[in-house]
Amino acid sequence: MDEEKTQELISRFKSGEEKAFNELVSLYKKGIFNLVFRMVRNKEDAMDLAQEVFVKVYHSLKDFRGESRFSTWLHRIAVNLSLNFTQRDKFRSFISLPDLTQPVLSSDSPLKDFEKKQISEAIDQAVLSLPKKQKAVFVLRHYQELQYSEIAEVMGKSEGAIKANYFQALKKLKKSLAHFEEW
Amino acid sequence: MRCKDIKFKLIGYFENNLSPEEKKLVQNHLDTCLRCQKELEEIVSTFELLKKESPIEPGEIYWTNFVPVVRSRIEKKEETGVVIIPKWKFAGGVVTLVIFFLLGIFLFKEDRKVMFKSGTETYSYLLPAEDEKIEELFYAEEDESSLRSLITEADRKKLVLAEEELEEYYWEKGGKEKSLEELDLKQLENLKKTLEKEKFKREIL
Repeated sequence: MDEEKTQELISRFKSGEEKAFNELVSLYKKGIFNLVFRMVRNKEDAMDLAQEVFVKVYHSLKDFRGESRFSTWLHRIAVNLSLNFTQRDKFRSFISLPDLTQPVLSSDSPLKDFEKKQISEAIDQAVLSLPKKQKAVFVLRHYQELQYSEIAEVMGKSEGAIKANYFQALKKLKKSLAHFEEW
Repeated sequence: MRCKDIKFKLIGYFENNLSPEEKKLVQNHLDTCLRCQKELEEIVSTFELLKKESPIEPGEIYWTNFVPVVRSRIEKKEETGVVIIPKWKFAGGVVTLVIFFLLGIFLFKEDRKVMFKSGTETYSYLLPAEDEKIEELFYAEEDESSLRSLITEADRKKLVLAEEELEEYYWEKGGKEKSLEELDLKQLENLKKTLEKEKFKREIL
């Protein structure tokens, strides 16, 4: 993401130009939706949470001092909101049936689509069952493709700890998805 | 290099994310270690499986409405006066309030104790309303009418009780050469102060 453009939008917003915030949202909305979705694994919830992230950003942006990059700060807000949501959601999933997202299917063949759906659902469950830090690290690295150093900043941990978390997350996923290996 | 040191570098090796030196070290280790080879295979197969995950697309309408919806949610929050206070700030605020409250109580007590030690507190500080009357009484002319105008019946009863208490306290302390009536105004005031200090000490300690 263009850091220079971001900084310009932030200073315009801070000097009272509300429209600059809209541009900022447009710039980051897709990345944040993707991050939040990979964290909560439910399309409807992710759609709602991604918007909530920007509502929170709006109220906090005036206090953002630029000590870290905006994207790092934004990722931190999105990760925290998603983790808090997942915590609340545990109770909801306990009392209701699993609400797994319908993936976009390619329709090459019904069997392939079915397999894809099965794998996606299994990955959803495997990621959701990860400990929260490992889940956040895994999502930030695997889907958001952030550098370890940036993940370390988002999570407030050392780079070594992040690498270890990523490795452990991958091991757990491997274990949860073992029965899909031959597919 | 030991397996323990290598295994955390395997993902970096797979992602081609290691320095040339590290890459060479891992490669040399893998050439001779079956366990780490298996570990690497597992990492590769997990990534392969993850590639099969379907992408998610919330739909064009969602993206078109994204900014307006965020805006309306911001406005809604502002209208309802909801102020987003970060959890840590809220907790910090509560802790600060509790600390100030406890500190207030402690300092208040300490303050009172110090005042007792230094003897700087005024008599009226200890007995605000009724002692104003008592004070006035001591300086009043000694005729019945002016006394009556100064104190009510309730005040008079309190005064009698206070005088009885003072008398009792005076004799309790012992070693007295004069009766209470023979004390001058200054001595009487000092005696009252000492009594009230002791009463207050008993209350707070």
